[in-house]
Amino acid sequence: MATIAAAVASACLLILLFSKDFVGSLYLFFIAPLTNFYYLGNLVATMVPLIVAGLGVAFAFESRNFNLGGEGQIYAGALAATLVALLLPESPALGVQLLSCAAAAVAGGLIGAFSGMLKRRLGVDELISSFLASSLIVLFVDYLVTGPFQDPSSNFQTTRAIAPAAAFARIFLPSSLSSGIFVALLLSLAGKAVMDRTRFGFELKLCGANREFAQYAGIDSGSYTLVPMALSGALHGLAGSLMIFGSYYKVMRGFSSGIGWSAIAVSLIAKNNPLALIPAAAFYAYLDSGAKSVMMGSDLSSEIVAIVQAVIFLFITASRLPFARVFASRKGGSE
Amino acid sequence: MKSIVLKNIDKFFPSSGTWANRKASLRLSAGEIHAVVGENGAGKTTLVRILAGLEKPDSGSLLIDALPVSFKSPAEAMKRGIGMVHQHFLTIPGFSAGENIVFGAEPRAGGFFVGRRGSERAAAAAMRRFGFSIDPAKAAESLTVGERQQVEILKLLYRDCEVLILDEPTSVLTEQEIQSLFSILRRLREEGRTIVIITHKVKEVKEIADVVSVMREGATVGSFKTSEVSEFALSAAMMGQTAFKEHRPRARALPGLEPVLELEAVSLRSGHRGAARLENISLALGAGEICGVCAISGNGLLELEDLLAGMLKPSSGTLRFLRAPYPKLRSAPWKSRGIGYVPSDRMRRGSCAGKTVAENFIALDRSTFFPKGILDAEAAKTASADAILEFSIKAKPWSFVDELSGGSVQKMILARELSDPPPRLCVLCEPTWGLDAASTEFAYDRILALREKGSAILLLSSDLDEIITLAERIIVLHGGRVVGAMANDRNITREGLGALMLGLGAARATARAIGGSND
Repeated sequence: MATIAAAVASACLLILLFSKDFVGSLYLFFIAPLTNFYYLGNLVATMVPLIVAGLGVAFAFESRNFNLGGEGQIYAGALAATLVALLLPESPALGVQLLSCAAAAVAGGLIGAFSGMLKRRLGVDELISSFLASSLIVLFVDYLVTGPFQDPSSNFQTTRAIAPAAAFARIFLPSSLSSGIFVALLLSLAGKAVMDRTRFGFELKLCGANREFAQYAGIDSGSYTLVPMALSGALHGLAGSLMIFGSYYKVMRGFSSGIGWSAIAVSLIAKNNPLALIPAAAFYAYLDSGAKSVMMGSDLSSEIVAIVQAVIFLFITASRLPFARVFASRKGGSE
Repeated sequence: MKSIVLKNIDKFFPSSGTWANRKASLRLSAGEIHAVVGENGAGKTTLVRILAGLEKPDSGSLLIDALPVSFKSPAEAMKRGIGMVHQHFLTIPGFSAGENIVFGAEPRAGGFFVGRRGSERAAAAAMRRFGFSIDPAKAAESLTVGERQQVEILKLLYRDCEVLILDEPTSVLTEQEIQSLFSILRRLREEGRTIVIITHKVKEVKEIADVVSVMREGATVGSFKTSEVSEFALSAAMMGQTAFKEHRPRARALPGLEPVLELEAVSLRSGHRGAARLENISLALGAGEICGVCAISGNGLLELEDLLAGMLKPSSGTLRFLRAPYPKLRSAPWKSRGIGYVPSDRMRRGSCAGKTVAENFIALDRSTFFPKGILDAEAAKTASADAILEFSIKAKPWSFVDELSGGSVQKMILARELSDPPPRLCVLCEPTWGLDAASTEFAYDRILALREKGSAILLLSSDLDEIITLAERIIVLHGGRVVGAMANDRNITREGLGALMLGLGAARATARAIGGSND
């Protein structure tokens, strides 16, 4: 609680320093996002990819693999989903959605598996390789979006949009929230069950906690480099496809815009606990929507808003959220 | 500085519950090479770490030229000219040899660092002065082990150290490197510097040291002029003459039984350069037999453990289990309770800190506790609770392993590996290392009970008392070779075994070597 108070206090101080209308800015930052369904809907919509990609980060982290390639995996997943959906314009919505999401998961999963394979076979650091591979993928998808798959009828750098019938149902119009949120919540629950109740999750966490012990227990620790990286990539890809079907309907250039990095932050706050990802993502989305609203509504420049956001976030990550700690101690978390 | 005296040093480590030093003393004079010898865990390293300011003693005094001092940090010891070369070198990769030497005490010009070139020039000057010949521009990672050690020594000389402490300096060196190290040490002695060298190699003590202090169980048990003490007297002082515990093994000849474990001319080489870590090891182990393998650390015990754990493959030779090729770790023959394995490193390999006792307990038998891949939490809890009861472990199924004492962790491992039905083969590595008397007794009872049930037991241990107490047959390793194989009868003495472990009297041992399990 003290941390949150300190975080909010320092955020207020910054706003006090830089804004002429202190109270107004404060209202816009902290209260406005919660005042109507439009803001609230957008807030929850932002949570969707954060939860799903955060789950991907958590699976990699729990096995002590570091997937920093989220950006590229989300972007590639989004493109794969869009392309599949564009190929099947007349098919039933559910079929299109399933196929597209599968394609997205495969695209992201292959990118993640590539880094996992490099680590397993050649001992290449997956942290570096996933980051570099992602940087490359981002440029490649940029090219595809603005080149071969560019929407000829648009002045923007974007692909064509998927058929409206194939999209997820919208909630709280005109906000960008869709039924995709339920998919995200379900995935979070499923992730929790896999991690805590299955042999796969147990072995994965053992490999993460103590690789030598895992080997001693006869676990093939090599495959717990490859599989978590692939799974992590697949979940990132899936996050990209959920964004397409839920809110965006097409891939613009620079589509992932930092979601991959934010997902890492969210997973850190949640201490890799799949259920704790939900409040962690909500908190992150709340800060994000507060930042947007204050940027549009007040005299604060976007840089100052970003700093305020970062200060709050720094405080919180430094101490871990209280709920994350509760979850962590319950499941037994020493580092 | 004329003399340094450490007097009545006590040091207790609460985490392991052991007295590392108990009334330990050391008396150093300027211009001498002083060896500190003793078995593993005798407290040598702790004592010199106190001298180097790396540890603080619980009680006792440190006198430099008869004036009491106390060091709060290695930096303070360094100010008084006392520095230490660690067993694991601290050279920084990415830096050149020269930069490593001056690191932390870089030459400056007008308050600024002089950079790589300047550092290397200063290092080169120091090398000329002390007669070293390493290229100061050479990258640290391309130095040989011997050169890296010289860099470490130069680091201390560059800082005007008068007392140089070397922890096991020869353990990683080749014969030629040892000779060049010794000539460096002799030269430093000529200059009036004091060298403290920790070792358990008695031959080297005779070769290089002027004075030798012997430590046992945390205390200094004697200090001798090396010219006046024999190698055998030294090793007897190191090993002590403790009385054996009562349950001495009965010789149980089980003739005609097929061997459970066979090693045939097993060798292990490290890397492509091929330094031998194990050479030509052969042994056969039958049901109901305890065979002890003892060695001082660094002489092949760990390598043998890794081979039997299936974590390393032999470079040549074969291992067989029940006449079949030795199974892969935790493969089907392991799982059907064929092999029980208690690792020597119980905190890293044997258990997983940060997980609960139940999680540790079910980790080895996942197919039982995860039927169809889903956790059977009830079964896991019951099984671990039963083990806790049976082995009287002070823990709950949901206690975290890092909250348990060393003894409890070891009991948990024993419970997991040795519970009924008894494994055909038990590989026990340092099974009672660091345990208190009661836990040790408990473990011994378990091990002897297993033998009664017909398990073949290979006991790898550096604890001579343990080997003599439990084993019917003893194999001694030195330098990765079998230097002695004998029945454990009345002729076995601690001193004799100790001499073999130290690589002395190999000829005598071969004369007495007995191959099989029968007397």
